Amino acid sequence: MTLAMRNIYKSFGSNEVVKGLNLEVAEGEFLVLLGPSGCGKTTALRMIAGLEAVTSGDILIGGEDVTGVLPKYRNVAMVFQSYALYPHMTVAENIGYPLKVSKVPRDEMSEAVRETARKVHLEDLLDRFPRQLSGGQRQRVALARAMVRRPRLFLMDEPLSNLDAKLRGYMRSELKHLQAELGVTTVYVTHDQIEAMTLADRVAVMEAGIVQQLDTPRRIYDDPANLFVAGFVGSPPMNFITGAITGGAFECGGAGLPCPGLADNPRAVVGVRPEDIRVTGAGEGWLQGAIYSLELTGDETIVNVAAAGTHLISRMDKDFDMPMGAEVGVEILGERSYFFDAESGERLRTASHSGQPIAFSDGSR
Amino acid sequence: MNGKRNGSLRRLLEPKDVNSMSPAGKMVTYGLLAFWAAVVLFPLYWVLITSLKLPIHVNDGPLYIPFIDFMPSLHAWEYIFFELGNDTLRPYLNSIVIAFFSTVLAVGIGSMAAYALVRFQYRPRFASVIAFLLILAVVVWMTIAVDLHWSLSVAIGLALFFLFLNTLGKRFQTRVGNDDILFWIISQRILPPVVAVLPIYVMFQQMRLLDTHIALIVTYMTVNLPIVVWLMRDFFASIPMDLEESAQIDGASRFQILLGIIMPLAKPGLAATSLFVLILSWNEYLLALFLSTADAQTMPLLVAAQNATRGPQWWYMSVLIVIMIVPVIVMAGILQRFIARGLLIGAVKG
Amino acid sequence: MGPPAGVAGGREIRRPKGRSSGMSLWVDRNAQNVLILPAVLMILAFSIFPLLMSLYLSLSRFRLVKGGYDLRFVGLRNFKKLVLGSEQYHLLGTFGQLTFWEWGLMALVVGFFAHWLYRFATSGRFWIFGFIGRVVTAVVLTGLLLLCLLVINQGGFPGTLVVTMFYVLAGVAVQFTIGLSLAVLCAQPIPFRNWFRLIFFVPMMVTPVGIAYAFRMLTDLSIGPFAPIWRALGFTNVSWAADPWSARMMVLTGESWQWIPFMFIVLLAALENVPREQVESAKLDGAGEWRIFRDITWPTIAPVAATVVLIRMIEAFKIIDFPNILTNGGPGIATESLTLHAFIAWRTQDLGISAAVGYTLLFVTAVTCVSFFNFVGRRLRERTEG
Repeated sequence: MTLAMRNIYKSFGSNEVVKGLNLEVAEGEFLVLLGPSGCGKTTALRMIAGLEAVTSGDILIGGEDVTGVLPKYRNVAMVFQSYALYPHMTVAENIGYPLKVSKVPRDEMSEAVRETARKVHLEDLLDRFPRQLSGGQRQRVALARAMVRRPRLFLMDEPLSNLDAKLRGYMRSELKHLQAELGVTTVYVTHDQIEAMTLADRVAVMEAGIVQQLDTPRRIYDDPANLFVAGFVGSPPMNFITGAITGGAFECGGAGLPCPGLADNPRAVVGVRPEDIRVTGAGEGWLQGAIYSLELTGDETIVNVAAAGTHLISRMDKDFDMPMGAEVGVEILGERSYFFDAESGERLRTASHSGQPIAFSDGSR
Repeated sequence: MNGKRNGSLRRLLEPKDVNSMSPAGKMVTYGLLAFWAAVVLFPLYWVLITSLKLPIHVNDGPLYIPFIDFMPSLHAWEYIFFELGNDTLRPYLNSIVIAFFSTVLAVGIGSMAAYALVRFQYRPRFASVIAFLLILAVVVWMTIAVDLHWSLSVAIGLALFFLFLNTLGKRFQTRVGNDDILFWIISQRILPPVVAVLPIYVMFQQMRLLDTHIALIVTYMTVNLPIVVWLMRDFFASIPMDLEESAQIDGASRFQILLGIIMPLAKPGLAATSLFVLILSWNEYLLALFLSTADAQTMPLLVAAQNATRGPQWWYMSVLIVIMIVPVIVMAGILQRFIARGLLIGAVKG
Repeated sequence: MGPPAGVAGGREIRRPKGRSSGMSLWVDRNAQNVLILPAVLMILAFSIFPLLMSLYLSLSRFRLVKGGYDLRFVGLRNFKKLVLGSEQYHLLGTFGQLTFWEWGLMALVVGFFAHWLYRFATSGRFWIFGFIGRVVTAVVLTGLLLLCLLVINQGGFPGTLVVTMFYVLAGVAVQFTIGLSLAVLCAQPIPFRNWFRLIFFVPMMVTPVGIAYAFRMLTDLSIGPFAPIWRALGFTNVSWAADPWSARMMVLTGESWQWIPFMFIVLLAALENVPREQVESAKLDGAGEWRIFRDITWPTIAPVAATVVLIRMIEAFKIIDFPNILTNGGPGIATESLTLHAFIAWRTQDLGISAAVGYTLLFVTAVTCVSFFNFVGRRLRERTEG
């Protein structure tokens, strides 16, 4: 089913949390709403489910206007962050509840419950109560309950955030596989950018009730629309240095970085991803600084360099070896730097490749 | 600290380890607790053995221990159950019927209201509430003083109220919220029953329902509603909203949610509240005194009437008291199991 | 729009909007009102409506006549009769003379309330209804205190109002003290404490009428269980029921025996909710048992304590079973409570006086409880939360 949200506004009292949301989700697409807490992403999801009324705007599911329709008539399924399993029901009763309330015949229901449970590997646990299950198992019960009837949409509200790191990785791939297999349109809310990048067909990055960028994960990463998206996506986050653009070069602290084709701007920001920064010997490179801290993560070393009045993070390989406090230089690789206006946060682009990715072609399917 | 000199005293006053008490403290605590247990149990023990005494055993001064001081006899029990027969059983049955139905109704209706106050926002206009009360007062006045038939004055009152709502009422903007409604319901408990019971007496007299089960059931139910609302509200508020929203999305209706999700989860609260309300209804005295005379007479009235009818015949009275206490203790025992199990679910879940 | 391919295990549920019947859909849509209306209607019909009707009754004279009744509006005459007229001795009591010290005490109390009102009026939080409420509280409490002092002196005799106040204030104080002590003892880590807990709960389940008779048996001076003790002490020819104060103490004892369990249960639950880490941290800081109770336990349970005291106060004002059964209100009117007073007036078919006494009770209860809630309960709550 397709989903469309047109010009959605939502206020709680005088507090406006969603401001003019427009989304079109294609049949079978996996859309992730990504943003920090309080950005309105969960409210948006709850409006799709019908748990919150919209202040203004229209919601269409499969072309049908459902704006004022009660949740029970929308035929969507939702997985809650807390899973919202009914504690007084067994796993089988939990999974079968959506069928029970719509009065599906008993034998048909138990057949459907067993079939769904098999899909999420719960067939041996059907008689247990939620309190007897581990976190991962509870999560799968919640998934099964969403899958058991064929909903028009899957809605997921941070479903993996209560799992430990290892299980989260496993469930992520499981989720992706199930969604692709069932082909049900999915809207998924998270603040975890890794989940967003790995799961989504498209990501909508939200901040302060507004969609900042709606694009494929690759383009969100490689071609951020503004300072917020650039800073929010990526781990460790992108480095920002404030300076000025004069005569086709970005200047800060006496050093210059060429940026041909950009108009002069007295307050500009350059952003560089940690993998595009290299730490070199003292006296070399673009900026000079000292090593503030070193973190060996296993396959690489995260180097934090104090330079240009800020901290720059660089991803070096695991053999990088320099003492803390050592004088170093910082070098920026190639052309992979992004320029922003410091006031508005908007991306500064040259006329030639505005709206185009800098380094890569469109890699989405 | 004080060295070896006070060693034995310290052993007495200081605990052996951090999780236990000092021997002296333990002795004092047990002493006090045992004393209070005696204060609690002795009157009940005395009632029990008095019910097994012959009149001569009672009148000859205190005899304490059955089989040693006196031979227990069932004569009082036989008298109450066989000779009096229906005169005992009818009030007993009345009490059971009235306490049971009023409890079920109060817990049912009260829970609904408590749930609604937790989950919905109510914003009635303050002016409408005041207008309603004024019009109600006018209706009372018209019925009693002007001597209109009550149905006529109620009709006039309703007409006035709707007229107000659709005209003047729209101009007032002050509204009251859920907390005000809750306070209003709970504050009904401040209302002394003796104030309300006179008009209720007249009302039931007019409806020819005096001295019937219905009169007492309805009155007890109303009197206990505030307690139910007050106790159940906290239980409902502690049930996560997620569960309800999830059920809504799963396609359940409000009442399916209430009966299938909320009520089962509030079982421990329902059990505790029911027990409390049941005790109050079972033991209620004043309202029964006003509203029942013969047919609907309840046990407290029967017990109270004993002295008036035949002087202090303690042995018969004791039997009646014992049979009044036993069912409540049995109920408490049954519900206790429920409460414990409910708490267990809560503990594991949280 | 068509069903997605490759779905196994799912079931398409068609739920056309028109399928559920009109009635159930309507109920579902209006659940908000359907859920709360029964309770509101019941309370309107059996609490608010009688309250208004009772007000009218208290302002009229009721007489049964053949085939019905005769009701005449008499204005405030019933209240006048109770406060100033022939029934004054019954409701308010017989007044004695105030001693010099008592005048001094009254002056102190008036001064205190005046200062309290002045402080509120000059503080930034002044608002008119708050001020009126405080004036009502001050006037009513001062008046009640004056009344108490007047009737307990030489030549005075308390009426039902003062007796009821005595049951409420002394009763709640006794119940709270003993209930809290028992709860503290039962919260100690000792074996068998669950047994004590069960035993202590029992009196609440016993019917008050039964307790009253049980106490009459127990306190019988010649055949009660303590008769040998009385005989040894030489109390053979006196009766506790003949002396006003010993009779009132009996009523108080019976009422306390029944309601201590309620205080005990609630306060014990509150004590068990005191965060363990705070107590353990205080222990590490070297605080003794009493200090821990004063600084950590009490502030945590204070709001609950205020609530149970309030609840018990509300219920205690309604006392009737014990005075009626235990002493039949006597000797004279010594143990009569306001509710019993109203009941006796009703039995003599004096409905106007009965309703007026009921309204007096309602007024005193409401002022006392609302004052307690606003000026004690809320403050304790704010202090713990703030």
